[in-house]
Parts: sequence; structure tokens; C-alpha cells
Amino acid sequence: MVQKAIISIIIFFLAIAQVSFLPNLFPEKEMPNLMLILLIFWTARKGIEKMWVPAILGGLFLDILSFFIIGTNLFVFVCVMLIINYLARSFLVTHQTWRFFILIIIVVIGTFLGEFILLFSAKTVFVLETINNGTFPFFDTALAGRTAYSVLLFIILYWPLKKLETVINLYGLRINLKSNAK
Amino acid sequence: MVKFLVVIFISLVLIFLNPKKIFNPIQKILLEVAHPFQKMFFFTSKTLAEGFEFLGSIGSLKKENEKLLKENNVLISQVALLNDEKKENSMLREQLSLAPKKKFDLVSSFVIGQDSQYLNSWLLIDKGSEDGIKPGMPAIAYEGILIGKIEEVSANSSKIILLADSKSAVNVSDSETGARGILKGEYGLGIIMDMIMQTETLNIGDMIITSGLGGDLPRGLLVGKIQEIKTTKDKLFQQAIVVPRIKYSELGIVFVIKN
Repeated sequence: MVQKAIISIIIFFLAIAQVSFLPNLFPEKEMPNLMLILLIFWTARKGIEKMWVPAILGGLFLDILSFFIIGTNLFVFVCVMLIINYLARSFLVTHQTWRFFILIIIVVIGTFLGEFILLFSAKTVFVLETINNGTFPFFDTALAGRTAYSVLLFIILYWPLKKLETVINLYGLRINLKSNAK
Repeated sequence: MVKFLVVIFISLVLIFLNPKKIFNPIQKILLEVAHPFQKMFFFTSKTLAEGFEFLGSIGSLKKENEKLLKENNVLISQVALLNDEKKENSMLREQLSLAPKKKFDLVSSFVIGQDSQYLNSWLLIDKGSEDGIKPGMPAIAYEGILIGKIEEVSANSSKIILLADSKSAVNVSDSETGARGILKGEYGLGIIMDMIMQTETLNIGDMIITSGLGGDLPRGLLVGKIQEIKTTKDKLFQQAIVVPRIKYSELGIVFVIKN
């Protein structure tokens, strides 16, 4: 329970960081999606089963704080996570030595997928026909920049995230031991 | 797979429930809770960004200094000229009835969040209903440049819908020729002056100002200048692509016009 509360708080702050921290550090059209990167990272490492709650919370927090149509990011995150989970199970388990580099490729694929699903759902669900005169600016330089920044952010966050993961796991273990002792 | 389908179903239900605005109370509560953290995050990242910028510019400071000294000399000579033009400008302002910003009851506010979905459609400011801000109030940057209107207000924060947002529609006119039209956002990709009669005259480079029609915005707030002029597909109206005078993403302080 405490572990889940900690994860929820972390996700809440990640959503705030996405809206109020990153815009000053990255060019506006090339801003990486911090929440998506972290969900990809954790899905690849822990599997999709443990990621439903963070994905739901992350999607909702991000939609609410960024005044987006509520449910959109949740939809995008869950779709991306399902595909990433399949990719990670297929490649990450069999290639342990190249783990870090495979994760980078997975982040790149996840960023593209996220973008594609967002734009596809924008066109079909929200009927935004008039974006850029009816054509979506999908394969543009901004996407390349966004992907590059996502990879950069992932590389910066990789080791701190591993550390955080260990701390949360240890904390959970301590709580379990305490409850068992009682 | 079942869980996946359930979550997808939930997300789709949420998406279709959005127009009913049933999430507004939850959004307001969450925004209130997030407000102090958003403020802290925004200013920390702003300081960091300025620090990075400063570090990056150290190498070029010497060259910059020499350049600035030269520019300074040129500027001193221009000041004299501009003083004269200032007088002329104030005369023209009177003639055009441009909105003098001293007349407005302005509330200054810091930007604490902005659109992270790269659609450049909104800004979040740190003033809300407790400071007298209400939906529909115009928001300007320095020099009386219109940036958008207040859309949602909570106790300590407000959302400004920018001119580039698709929901934005403002009555504007060409300051040189008087041609009138409606300024619309293009999903964050730019702003366009639409519904201009074929009989009206437009010139590339003309300044676009608010026309004051409709009464929701004061007349004479500067919006931007015309970059390109085209005709609609049905040949009924003219359209002009307008370049904003400022980059919305770089704004740190904005003013809300209260009266």
C-alpha cells in the first residue's frame, strides 16, 4: 500500500515536471514525453502486469494538468506499453549484455509509436481534420528532435531510475518484513 | 489482454465524457494541489535554463562585448532620432486610438506552466479568482501585445488560451488599411486572419490589431504582422497568415486586463 502511494506521488510529480519543468529546458516542438519514457523503461524491466496503475495514474494526471482531453494519454500509454512489453519480452530477455542499448531502441520505438497513436487518435476520435491543412506533420524534423531528446533524457535518467527502483523495492521489502514480524 | 481491453474501454469512455465537463471539479482540485509545486518546478527549470544559457555563452562573451560596444555607438546616434519619432508615434497612436496600456487595470502574473503537447495552445499563470481574474479577460504581454484570453480560472491559477489555439477567435483589423477579419488559431501551427472581404485591401507586413468588435476585447491591442495573403478555396474571402510579435513559449510574465 505504502509502495503504491509512493509510486502515485512520484507519478504526480512527473506529470508536474512534464508541464512545468521541461518546457523551459527543451525546444517547444521537440519536448520529450518524460512520463512515456519512464513507463516504457519500467514496462520493459518489470512487465506490463505491474504497470497498469502507474499508466492509468500517469495518463490521467498528465491529461488533467496539461488541459488535454482526459483519457487520451491513458489510451496512448496503454497501447505503447502493450507493444513495448511484447518487444521487451522478445529481445531484452535473450540479450542481457546489450540491455542498455536495446532499451534505447525500445525508447525510440516507443516515442514513434506514442506519436503515431496520439496523432491517429486525434484524427479519428477528435476529428481534427484541419491540422496542417488535413495532413499530419508526422515525419518531420520535430519528431526526429523529440526522439533524440527522449533518448538523451533516457540516458540521463537510466542510472538514477535504477537506483530509485532499488530504493522502492528495498522499502517494500522492509514493510513486508515488518508486517511478517508482527 | 482482458486488462488491456478494460483500460482501453475506460480511456475511450473518459474521452467521450469530456465534452460533458464532468471532470472540471476534479481538475480544479488537482490544479490547486499542484499549483505550488508547478510554481516551484517552473522557476527552478527557468533558473536552470538561464544557467545553461549563461554557461554556453561564456566563450562568446568577449566577441559579444566588442560587438556591443560598436552597437552602443550606433544606438546613441539612433536615440536622438528615436526621440523625435517617439513624439510622432504618440501622435499617430492618438489618431489610431491604439489602446494605451496605462488605461488598463492590469494584473501581472508569472507563467507557471505551458502546453506540453507541442500544440502551443495554452499557458498557466499563477493568478486566479482570488486576484479578480475571470474567464474571458484578455491577456497581454509587455507593450500591449495580445496573447490570448482567460479560459479557466481556479483560486490561484488560470489557464490562458493562446491565439494559436484552434478554439481562439478574435475580431481584428489591419492597422494600415482598416480591413477587418477574424483571427483564428491553427492548432498551434500558427494564426490566420480569416473572413476578410475580397473588397478589402491587405498588404504584407501590415500590423494587425484587435478591432474591438464584439466588445470582449479592447480595440488596438497589437497581435502581429501579415506574412502571407491568400484567397479561400471558394474565392469568397481573403485570408492572411499572421506572425505573432512574440514567441509564446518564451513568455515569463503576462498581464491580464481586468477592466
